[in-house]
Amino acid sequence: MKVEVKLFATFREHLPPGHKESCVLELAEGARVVEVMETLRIPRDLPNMILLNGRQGAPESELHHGDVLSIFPPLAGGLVPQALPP
Amino acid sequence: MRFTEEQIRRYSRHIILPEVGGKGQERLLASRALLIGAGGLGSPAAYYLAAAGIGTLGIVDFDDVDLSNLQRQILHRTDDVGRPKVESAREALQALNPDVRVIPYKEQLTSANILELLAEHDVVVDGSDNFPTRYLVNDACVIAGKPNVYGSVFRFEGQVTVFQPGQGPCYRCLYPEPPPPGLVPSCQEAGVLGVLPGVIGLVQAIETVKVLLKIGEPLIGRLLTFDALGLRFRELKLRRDPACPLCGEAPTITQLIDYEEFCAVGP
Repeated sequence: MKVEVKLFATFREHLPPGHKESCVLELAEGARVVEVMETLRIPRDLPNMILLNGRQGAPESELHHGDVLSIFPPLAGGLVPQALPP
Repeated sequence: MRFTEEQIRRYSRHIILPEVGGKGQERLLASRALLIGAGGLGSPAAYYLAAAGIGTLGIVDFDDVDLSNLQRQILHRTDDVGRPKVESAREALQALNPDVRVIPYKEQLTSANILELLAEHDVVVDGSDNFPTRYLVNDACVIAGKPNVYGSVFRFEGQVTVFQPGQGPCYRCLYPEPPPPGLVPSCQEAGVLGVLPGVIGLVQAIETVKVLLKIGEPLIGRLLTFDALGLRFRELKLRRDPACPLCGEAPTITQLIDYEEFCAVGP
């Protein structure tokens, strides 16, 4: 199944090369948000906000074909957490 | 209160709006907004709130004006470099509208002073630039039951929402805790397109006026994101988290916390 993943702010640095805002991932049926985060090496220990199809989701949320997943880091202006090296 | 002739002229474009009217303008003049930060977001927000005749503007900012602020922080002028931001802010706002009482607070916000400040104001406009302040403002607003008009910017992206205690989520419903003290992520000074906080700060100002007048549909439970490069606004639904450590069903946070800045400036 295919899921569109949109990343925001510092998380954009975790997109595959050549992608600026989003990418489409091919995932096994029943995959969960946490697997997307692992695939893209989005640090689990940094706070993040997950939105699935425009509504709040969680790392354990199950994904379905055609879903749009958005993941936001916290932003405070000034200093921002840097993306960890892949 | 009675409007002076000058006030009737100054606010005439508000007064002729049925949604505002004389009553609404009176309400705005009697309202008190607390701006957290007189920077990129606080500048445009404060400028328009002053123009709109919000009677009292409290401004909290500990910083002095730096040359690198002037690309976006429109309350301050080149001659203000080195002066406290709250002072140049007060001058600019009072020159724009002498009806407005500007109260400068050149202090660090802490658990010791924030509730006292909130008690003096009806609404908070959070344009702060660090995580400890974001969490402190959120927690204090939930405890005090005050609406928090939240904005943030990064490079070409911005976000706005309204955290209204009891009616929608709070910041901790979205980001429950800062990273644990052992984990200090390396951080970078975020670049930002100078005009961008103008857009976001003004959306915050609009929401502030709506919250004060109780008109329209405020951004409660909705996150408005703005992408300047693609020039797109998007809206995402946010819901309250029943497991939120602060505003959930079994809160574990019952008093204010002064966090240490968890960012370490990267190499």
